[in-house]
Amino acid sequence: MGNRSKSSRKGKKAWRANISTEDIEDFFEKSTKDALSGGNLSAAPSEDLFHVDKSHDIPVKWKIEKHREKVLRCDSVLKKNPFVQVVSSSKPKSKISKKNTNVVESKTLKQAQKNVDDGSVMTDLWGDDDDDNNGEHEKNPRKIWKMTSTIPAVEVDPAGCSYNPTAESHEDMLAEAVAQEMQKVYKAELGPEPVPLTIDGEANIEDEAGLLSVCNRIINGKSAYFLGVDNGSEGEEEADAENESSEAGNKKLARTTKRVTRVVLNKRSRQKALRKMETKEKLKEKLSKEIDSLPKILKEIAKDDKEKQNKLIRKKIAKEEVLKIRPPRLGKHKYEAPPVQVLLTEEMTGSLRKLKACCTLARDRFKSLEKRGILVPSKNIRRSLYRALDKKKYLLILGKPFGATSDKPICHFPEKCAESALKFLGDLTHIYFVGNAPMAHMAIQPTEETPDLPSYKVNNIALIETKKEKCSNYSYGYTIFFIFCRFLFRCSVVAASKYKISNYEDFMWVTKDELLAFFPEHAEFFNNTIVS
Amino acid sequence: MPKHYRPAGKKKEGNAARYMTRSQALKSLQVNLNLFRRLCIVKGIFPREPKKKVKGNHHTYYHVKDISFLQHEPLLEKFREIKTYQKKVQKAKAKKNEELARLLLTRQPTYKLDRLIRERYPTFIDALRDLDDCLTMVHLFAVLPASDRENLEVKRVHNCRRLSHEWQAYISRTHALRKVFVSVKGIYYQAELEGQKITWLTPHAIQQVFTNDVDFGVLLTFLEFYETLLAFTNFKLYHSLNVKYPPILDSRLEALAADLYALSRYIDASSRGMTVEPKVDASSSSQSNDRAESELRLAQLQHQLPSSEPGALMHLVADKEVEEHEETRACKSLFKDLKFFLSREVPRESLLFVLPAFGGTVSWEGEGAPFKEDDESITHHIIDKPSAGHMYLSREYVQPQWIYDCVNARIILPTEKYLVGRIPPPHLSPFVDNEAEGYVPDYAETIKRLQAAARNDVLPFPGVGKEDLEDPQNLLYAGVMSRTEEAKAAENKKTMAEREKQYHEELKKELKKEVTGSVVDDVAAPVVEEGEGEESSVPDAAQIAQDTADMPTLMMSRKKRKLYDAMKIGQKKKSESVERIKQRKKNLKADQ
Repeated sequence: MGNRSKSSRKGKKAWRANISTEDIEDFFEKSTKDALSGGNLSAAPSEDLFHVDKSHDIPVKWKIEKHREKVLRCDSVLKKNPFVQVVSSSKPKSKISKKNTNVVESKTLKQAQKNVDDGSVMTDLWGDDDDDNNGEHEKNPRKIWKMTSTIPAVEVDPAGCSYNPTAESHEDMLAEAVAQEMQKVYKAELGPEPVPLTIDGEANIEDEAGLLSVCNRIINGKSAYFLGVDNGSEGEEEADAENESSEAGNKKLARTTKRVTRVVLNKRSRQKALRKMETKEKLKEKLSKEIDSLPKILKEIAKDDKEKQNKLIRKKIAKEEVLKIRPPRLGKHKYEAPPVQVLLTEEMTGSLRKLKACCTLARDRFKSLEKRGILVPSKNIRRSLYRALDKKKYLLILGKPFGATSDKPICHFPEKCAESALKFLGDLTHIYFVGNAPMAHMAIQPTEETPDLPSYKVNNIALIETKKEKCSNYSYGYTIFFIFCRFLFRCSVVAASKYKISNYEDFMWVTKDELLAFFPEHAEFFNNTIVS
Repeated sequence: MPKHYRPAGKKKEGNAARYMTRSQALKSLQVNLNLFRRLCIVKGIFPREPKKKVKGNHHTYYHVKDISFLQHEPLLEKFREIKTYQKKVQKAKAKKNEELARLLLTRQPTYKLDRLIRERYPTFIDALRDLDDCLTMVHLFAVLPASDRENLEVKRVHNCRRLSHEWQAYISRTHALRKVFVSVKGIYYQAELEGQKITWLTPHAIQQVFTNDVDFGVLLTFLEFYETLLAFTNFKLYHSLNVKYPPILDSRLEALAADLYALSRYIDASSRGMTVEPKVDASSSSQSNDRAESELRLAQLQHQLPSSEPGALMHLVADKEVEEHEETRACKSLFKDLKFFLSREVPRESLLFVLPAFGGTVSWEGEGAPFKEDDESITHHIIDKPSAGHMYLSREYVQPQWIYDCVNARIILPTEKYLVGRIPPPHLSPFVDNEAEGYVPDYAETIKRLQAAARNDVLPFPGVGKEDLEDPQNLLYAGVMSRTEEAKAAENKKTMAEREKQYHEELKKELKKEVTGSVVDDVAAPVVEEGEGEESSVPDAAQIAQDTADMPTLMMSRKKRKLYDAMKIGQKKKSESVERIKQRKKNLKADQ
């Protein structure tokens, strides 16, 4: 068709008389056929064309029934016998549930009665111990409930920890305490030195090219030095090796040129036989010797066995003893024993009134829980930036705040201006300020504790806020500074890992919720300004 | 193929199948870490240490069955419900719908731990066995300052106080206290209930602090469970005395911070069969509940000071407790006819607990006390000052340590060493078994002798191994007698050994004869035999002893033998340490 249309129309084919009417004729033919056969099939609805034959369809239910009706031969045989009882395949459910409810009801009734008897809210939990079930309980789904550790819950201090101890036992305990402290010191001394954040020296190598050249120089120098040494030694060795090889070659040559005569061969074979005999003899001798010294060998074996056994026993005992004092390793961190609570010699007064008692019993309890393997030991997590990663964290410092009159260390925000406040994080290279524009401000009235604040112009309170992304190698985020009754800046801390707390006792990164707990009086302000 | 390759779809085996890490557990339980921790504490599920840590050494592992045990806990659903409810409250608050938030807060869903206690401690004995930690924690939180920062409410501190006092009142009423040890940390007590030894530690009367390295959230969860446990235990114990449990106290004494005394009076009254009517007090206290918050704070400050303890257990009617242990009787009658008066500066709380537990009558300086300082019948005045001001001649002025030492020794010690202004003798720990340790301090020996002397009329004086000639006590108390006895015993031993030797020699001779008789043909044999016989025919006593000691080891099974060996090693270590201590003591003396 396309060809025809593209060709020139000037020929015969272009005439109207020559245009084919085949398709029209086909259509007419078809339609007359359809009319004769009773209409177009494609136009007819499917119901007219098909019909569902339901004559052989059996409903599912009926099928099951039919299946049940079928009686197996064995059953039919059994059925004939009147003494055989029919066993139902499944238990009827309704009965059981009724029973259950009855039991429950009776129980509740009992309890209610008990309650009435007591006239109180509480009931005796172990009241039915003696009557129905002594030992096993249907209420207890777990048969085995065992403590993981053999360490007692309350460990009584040794005699040396008495408030008025005998001199010997006190000395013993003191020695232990000192040992504990010294261990820490030695560990710190012997451990690797931390990598310094900053290095003193001229920082004049500014461009990379200069740095590279210096590096190259160092490397080249070193390699040259090492190379020099290496070359010398290698050269000697090579020379030696050459000498040896040349000698060996000469011999080889000599051997190959010499002919092996019959005589020599005979001699060799004789010698070989002789050697064989000798070795046989030797073996025999050895065997007889060994047989002679059998008791000795047996003794040796017994000795070895005993030694092994002793070793095993020692190992076993050591393991048990370790388990008694050391908890299982449950997590990332090892359990660290709390310091021994013992009086110093000058603190021993013999008077209960003047006793300098321990005031950190809560820690003692906590450590006991850790020791028994109930809690997983953990470090002081508040120091870490790597916690509460989905929240922003604020820096708090424990120490004597600026201008405070009392000596007691308290938690407060870092003072002074932003940069100096952050200085204790190390240097400022991993901190950058997002902008110079302040974000918010906060007005803090000078309290009685800080009466002289106005004399200093820059008595700022800095509030540093960081947000970290979990997946990145380094952390980034914002730091906000409250400058005293003025401004609030943003900066971000990048990978703060080393801290130098010079004047402060401790520091912590806290979330907003924890911050509110520290400063309940400023809760309103924090709620309005800080995001969590 | 790698060593640990496991085709996909194949089940895991061994430790990989038995243990899961904490984060896996969180995922499978669909809870957050906080909730998981709470659940674990409450259900008593602890991390385990598998032999092979499949995921690495830095993970915490739980047993799979433990986790599935948690999965079926109804409390888990309850916690979820509470969480969703909290969200509702938060939403209301965020919409500034204060009314709705308040309304919602009043109908918060709550949970109870009763069922869990029953589950973890199927019998009462189980609960008693595990009471050490519980008591220590409750006693500790009874003296902690309430703080907003750590979420420690005044109400809870008060509840802890009440529970601890109830416990102490029961113990002192039943005279179940056995040992007391005052250490730097606090005061250790040991009581014996139904055959179980329960040890607990109470802090000294100073301010306890919150330290930074302690996660108080965790401790508070523990406390929550322990409060419930102790409440039920107290309930059971009080009912065993026929006393109604939530005790109704005299409000006047309570206000004076003398609840222990009030409790003891309450127990007395109810065990006598008297009906207790001060229900009025209870109702009045409930009316003033809203005011209570501020009052409680004030009261708590007062409570920080040592508060008082049951005093008047003296006027007990004769008990109907039939089966009383001998030890209980001894404890009950220790301070029977003595009357104590406590000065202001002594640890009142502790002494008010200890003295009645050993049958003493006690009063203190302050309001609500049973009797005043000028009472003529007072026998002992407990004082902890360098010098007493006005002294009554009829009574003895002693330091508080005297009481503790008396209690541990179970006799009334002479008071000269404990008088006012003197440095008392060392306070020894009753928890140390001197015999097992092998080293006996001097003062312990003195006490031992005194005890023996107290028992002397009934029992013969036991031979004391090491005597100090300088010690006057020894000479006083039948030292000579003991020495003669010991000499006799030694002589006896010698004669016995000699006889044994003789007997053995005779036996050997008999044997020799037999041997020579039987083997006549061989000429060389008798000589050898004789030589051997001569060697073995003069066995010293030590060798015999060794032989006899070896016998049982030969008979023992391997397991037992190993255990025996282990014990021997331990004993050796102990003896070495004793030697060391002795050496030190010598050095100390030499220095002085």
